[in-house]
Amino acid sequence: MKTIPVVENVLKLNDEVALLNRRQFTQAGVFVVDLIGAPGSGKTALLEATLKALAGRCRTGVIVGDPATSRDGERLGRYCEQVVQVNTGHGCHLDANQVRQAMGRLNVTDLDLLFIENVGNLICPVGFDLGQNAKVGLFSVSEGDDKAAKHPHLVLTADVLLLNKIDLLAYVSFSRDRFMEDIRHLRADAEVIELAASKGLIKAWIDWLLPRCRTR
Amino acid sequence: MHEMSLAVDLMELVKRYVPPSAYLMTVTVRIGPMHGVVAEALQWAWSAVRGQSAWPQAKLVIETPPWRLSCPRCGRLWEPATVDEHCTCGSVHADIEGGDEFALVSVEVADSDESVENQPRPEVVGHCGLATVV
Repeated sequence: MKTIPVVENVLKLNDEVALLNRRQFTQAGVFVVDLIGAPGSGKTALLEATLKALAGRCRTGVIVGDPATSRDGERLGRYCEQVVQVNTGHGCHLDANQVRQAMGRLNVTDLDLLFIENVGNLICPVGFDLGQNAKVGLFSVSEGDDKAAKHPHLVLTADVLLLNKIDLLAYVSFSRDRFMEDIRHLRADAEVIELAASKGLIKAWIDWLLPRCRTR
Repeated sequence: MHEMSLAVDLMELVKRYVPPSAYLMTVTVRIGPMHGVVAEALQWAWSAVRGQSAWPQAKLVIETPPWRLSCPRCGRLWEPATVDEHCTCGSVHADIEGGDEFALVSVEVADSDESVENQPRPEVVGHCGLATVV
């Protein structure tokens, strides 16, 4: 019997494909955002508002992952031409290989900004590198103020955190102070942007995005 | 249920380390609580994945290191029950020192002439109402 010491990231194979994706995105000059949030947090509504706000300013595309249906892809297809819907079946997240397959259906050299709307889930998608430039964590006030504390992996690894549906603050039990305290406990320097996507209140988010991508 | 994806990826990675003439006996991984992996679910997924491999009896050992936090104010290092636990000095900030590990640690193999038949039979593994006999 022989023991072979290894110490290798379990997701090394996914990371290798993610590296290929990242190289291709870099060559194409497209900025890629992996959007991670719970079901119902408003990921698709945020992308609808974002694509609308960016129309004419940069060329956008979306890869959208859902276990089933093409409903989100159809919603987003009203605002940009390049949309690919990935159905993951029982899969609870997108992986780098699925994104690579979706890239084959896109003309990434014609894009300035590509959103990857991950499957609604705050746990599984976080560990899988897709080749993105920025990982964005989306929370909403209707989910409760404890979600950041319960999902430290996302808080610790996201480039920016978004808090959506702040227009509902008066109607739900949500302590902004508690939410922020939990985030600051894990990451004193975390950037948090508040939004109300369905009301079009996303200016701070657009201001975060635009300097990062090529504009017309 | 990302445990199934992890088990598949783990098996593919392990294959790189098993010499052609060897038989895979045990795989050891270290997964910190940050990754939200349910050990029981990963064992179940592994039992399904190994059943499709050349080593249907390969065992999976999961080491689960605890959270370890350090306080940037007083320098205290401690292992909290949950990651949102604040330092006793009252600081609301903490730095992650451990609990984020996600590594394949070692692969144990036997020469092909070592008797695999003498290995104990794998147990029946059940999860989420499913039962799999491997």
